Amino acid sequence: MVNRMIRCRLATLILLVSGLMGCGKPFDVKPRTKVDTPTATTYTAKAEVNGLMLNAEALTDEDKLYDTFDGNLILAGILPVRVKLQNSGAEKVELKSAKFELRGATNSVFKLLEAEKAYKQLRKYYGITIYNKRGNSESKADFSTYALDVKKSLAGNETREGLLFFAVPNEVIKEGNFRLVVRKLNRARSDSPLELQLQ
Amino acid sequence: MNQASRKVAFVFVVYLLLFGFASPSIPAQENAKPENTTTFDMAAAEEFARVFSLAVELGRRGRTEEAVKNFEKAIELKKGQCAECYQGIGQAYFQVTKYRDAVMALKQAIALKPQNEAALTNMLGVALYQQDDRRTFDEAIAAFKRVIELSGDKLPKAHLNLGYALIKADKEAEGKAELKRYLEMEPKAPNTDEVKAVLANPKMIKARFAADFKVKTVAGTELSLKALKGKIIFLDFWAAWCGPCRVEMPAVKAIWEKYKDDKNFVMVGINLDSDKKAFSDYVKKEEMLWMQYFDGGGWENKVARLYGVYSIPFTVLIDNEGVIKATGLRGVQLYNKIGDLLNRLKEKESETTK
Repeated sequence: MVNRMIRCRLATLILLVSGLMGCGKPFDVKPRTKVDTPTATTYTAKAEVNGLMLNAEALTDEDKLYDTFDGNLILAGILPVRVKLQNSGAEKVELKSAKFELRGATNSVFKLLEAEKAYKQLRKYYGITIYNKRGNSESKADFSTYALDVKKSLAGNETREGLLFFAVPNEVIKEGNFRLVVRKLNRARSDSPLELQLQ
Repeated sequence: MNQASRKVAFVFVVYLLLFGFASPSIPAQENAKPENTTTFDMAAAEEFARVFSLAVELGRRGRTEEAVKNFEKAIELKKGQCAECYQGIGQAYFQVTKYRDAVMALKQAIALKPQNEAALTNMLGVALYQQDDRRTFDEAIAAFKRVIELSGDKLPKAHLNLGYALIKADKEAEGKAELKRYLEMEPKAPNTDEVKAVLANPKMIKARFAADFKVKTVAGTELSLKALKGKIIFLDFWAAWCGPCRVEMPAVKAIWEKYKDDKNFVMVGINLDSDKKAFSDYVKKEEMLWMQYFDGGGWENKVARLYGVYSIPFTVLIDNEGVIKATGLRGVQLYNKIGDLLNRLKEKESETTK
């Protein structure tokens, strides 16, 4: 009888663990508001054109990413690049037409993933096919809050921060040497791109 | 990774989807050896659950060695009777392609006769096959045969795996019989053409076949990879907005100028723009006269997705048998490789006409 009780308890515990990890929310993404917003000084690269300051940093700390997203983005072939845009002018800056390109050591342009696509890639990497529909939507929504909003224009004196997700294989991420190239910001009508060397 | 390896890897991925880190299966208590209930008390059970979940968590983080250590600790807590712990170790090593270590762990898991014995045995077979060592092919064959037995012959993929393993072990006739059995069981499988090619020529087992597609070019021509079989095909993935693609354009145009009149050569541009005007203007400006496929999907272009393109410029060279001979070549390397492939094909043609 005792043996049976122990087995039941053990099974419940394992079920709870697997339930929490696999059958409920696929990823327990920390709400963005609860995560410390890094100060501008933590950025490794910056560039400025006509009063528009661009800061960027490739996020490669796997543990930090895991703690935030409950998933190892690097292993899943997703490189998040944190971007901060500061518009010190009065005129708005159109971001919709802006092109954010991540270039690697061999001068290739990597695929920019929408947040939902990046989330899907993460889920695919972990082979999560069975999940609670509502939990999945919550995870996806929480994940998407980290994305840089490029649909809305950047108003005068506005600062905006967020992540851009790029599809880069794990082994290529480890090689490093990335550049972020931003083109077609309406401030830079000459189309001279802003280029930042990321670490 | 060659096509056969991809096949077995695919089976493994399917396995992971079913029994991945995210949802460890409950041990088959009825089949497991009896536990020592006097020593395996509640506290130990809770400690086991803690260590096990930590191991799973570390596995998810990709920290293989730490995950393995915790799975081993969990095994100790269960007095060696933990099939899913050994399974976890096997999966962790498999992920980092340490197939030898994965094999050892999986054998221990299987020895405990878990409920998912067939799936684990299949994974074992794949790990043995992946070692690509003559000595382990026989063991892989035995594992796949066991999978067929355990599943009541309801897993067509087991015949596919067995067929490939037998061919690798130089048992061609038996291997072909298994592949035929697979085609009987799965007549509409997406890889039937590849399996048929291996049946026709077992040496093709090492080949990486190009995924077939059927699209309409911008000029309205039906373009099917299957229909182009027998020619050397150059797929160039590009976009007008992509600076590095523009840098490569003179080299790409030089290839066209050199080989455009060769009846055995086909060149197709796969465009990743979403703005048709930008695409058309660039094609016109650069006088790109070769076939172009544009669907406005940008990075989600149908053919780009099929070929898993994550960066551009990207090139794929396909030979007359439909086998991918090179990817990602640029400039002189690309130019020379196309020349080599065309020369080889010409030599082959002249040999057959003699």
